[in-house]
Amino acid sequence: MTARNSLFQQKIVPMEPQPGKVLQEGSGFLYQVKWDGIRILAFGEGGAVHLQGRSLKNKTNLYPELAVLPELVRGKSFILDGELIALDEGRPSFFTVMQRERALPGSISLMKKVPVYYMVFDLLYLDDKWLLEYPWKKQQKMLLDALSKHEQIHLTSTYEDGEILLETVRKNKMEGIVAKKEDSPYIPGPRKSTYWHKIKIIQTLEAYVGGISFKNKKPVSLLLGLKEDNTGSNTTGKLRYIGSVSSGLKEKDLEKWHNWALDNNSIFSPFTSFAASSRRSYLWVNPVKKVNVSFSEWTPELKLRAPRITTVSHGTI
Amino acid sequence: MRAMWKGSLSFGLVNIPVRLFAATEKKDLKFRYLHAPCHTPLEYRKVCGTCNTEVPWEEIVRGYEYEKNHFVVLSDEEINAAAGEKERLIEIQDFIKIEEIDPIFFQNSYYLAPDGPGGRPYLLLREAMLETGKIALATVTLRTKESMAVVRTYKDVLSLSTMFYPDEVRSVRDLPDLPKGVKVREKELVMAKELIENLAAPFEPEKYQDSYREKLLSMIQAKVEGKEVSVAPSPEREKVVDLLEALQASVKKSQKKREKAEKKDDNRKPSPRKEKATAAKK
Repeated sequence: MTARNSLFQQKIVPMEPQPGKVLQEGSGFLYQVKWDGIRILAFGEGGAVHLQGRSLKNKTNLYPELAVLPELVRGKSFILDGELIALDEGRPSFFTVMQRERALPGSISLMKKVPVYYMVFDLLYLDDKWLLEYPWKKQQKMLLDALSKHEQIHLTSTYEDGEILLETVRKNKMEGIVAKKEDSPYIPGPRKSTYWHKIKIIQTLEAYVGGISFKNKKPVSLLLGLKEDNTGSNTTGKLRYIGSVSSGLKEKDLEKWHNWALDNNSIFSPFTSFAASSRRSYLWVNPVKKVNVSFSEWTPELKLRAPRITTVSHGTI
Repeated sequence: MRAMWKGSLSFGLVNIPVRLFAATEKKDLKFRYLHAPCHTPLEYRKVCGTCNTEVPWEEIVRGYEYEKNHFVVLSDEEINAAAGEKERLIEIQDFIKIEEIDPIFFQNSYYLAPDGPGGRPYLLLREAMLETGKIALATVTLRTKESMAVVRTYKDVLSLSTMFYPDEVRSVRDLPDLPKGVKVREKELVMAKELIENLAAPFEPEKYQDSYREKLLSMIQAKVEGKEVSVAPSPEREKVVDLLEALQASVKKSQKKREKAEKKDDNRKPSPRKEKATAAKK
């Protein structure tokens, strides 16, 4: 271990919440928005920054925006825990921030197109001192005192009323909330801690229908995709495949989609990333129709988990 | 201004020592190629694909590709020999009228300034050309190439414009899609001529400028001063601050609603928690 930036040698798996429900007031829990993004621990020492992801990967070069952190934290060394998010239509979008996560380091145009925000919620280390054992509320006070404001770096607010926060988050179509026990220590993962609870809201999004898959010549599911460039300058109209969905569709609905697809079919797949299965056949369509899909969460491969069609966005089939 | 050539202008028996200066300059903005992630200017290296090595100047010769991939090599001496033992001379051949030369022949323009003892004959030639209204057709060797050129007066000085040789001006016969055997209608011609007369104006080049360069320059200026420049109009950047403020406001509103409901409730009578919700709805 070198004396210089020895803090950067540390590897910490961030603390994970367990699934839970909103707890009553007075139970010693406080509430924060659950940001839908990429978990990042930010290490600072000697004016330099080192970024580490949930799986301990070094992500320093992917997010140069966070190099400003040493100027914002009052302390000669620190470790922050937070979520890196990007917005789409004013809301955090995991799909959008993943464009940055998958990009080559140093893509300046992408940095401008997809700015990221670091939503800080915990302080694990400050001025050469570990704070993991500190009661959460005390640690929060220290974080509040240590971090100054910046356009792209924000402190996550804490609320006393979990029900009100959950309702607010639901109205704003965000992922959910986290309840944190106010006197708890910080216990690194990956084991889910009982001190932290996550309460998730069923998420929805609008996806393009890019094709239909058939099994034994019968339509069985719709293939969904999103346009990757949310700035609208993507003129190729190509879609990133985010999963197939059959839940929420009756046989009758699938027949209607099939008939529509026959009139609108395209020789070429609209997807940039799609692994065809030999047990299915496919009919491609130009991505013009959108559907509303609910889903529980994104998989690490950026596919929808438990997708379900709720409605057709524009008109009917 | 820096002279780019020194020699003499020969006019009959008179030799006038002169220096040559470029009369025009390109103002196109030059961009350098940078490596996008680090903004380092790219270097250009001369590399030999066969020897797989960078080539120093001493190992570079000139070759003429007389057929694909076949070269004859000419040394600098041989090339210079072909240029001849030319004196550095602008040799006036004929005096002609400028109208006789089509502008398509003109290539590059230079100013001539007298050098050393050349002042008096320089003035003499200038005056004589001004009074006769004639210009001089000359041959000139700049560097290795011998060119046709005209020497004439421009403002208070003598100027030299190099010219293309007749075989360097391409024939118009090869131009496609020219109408053949079509007659112009008299009435239309009258109208077109009227239009020309209406648009006739004195030549005022100051009216025109390179607006593309102006735009690029102001863009660069703004960037240098640290202002954000966007090429295409783009939608306003979404800000996370807006989201945070919206969340705060929304939470506060809900809290107030609840407090109000609870107060109302207290005024009546203490009641179990469940009924609070109904009271809030009123």
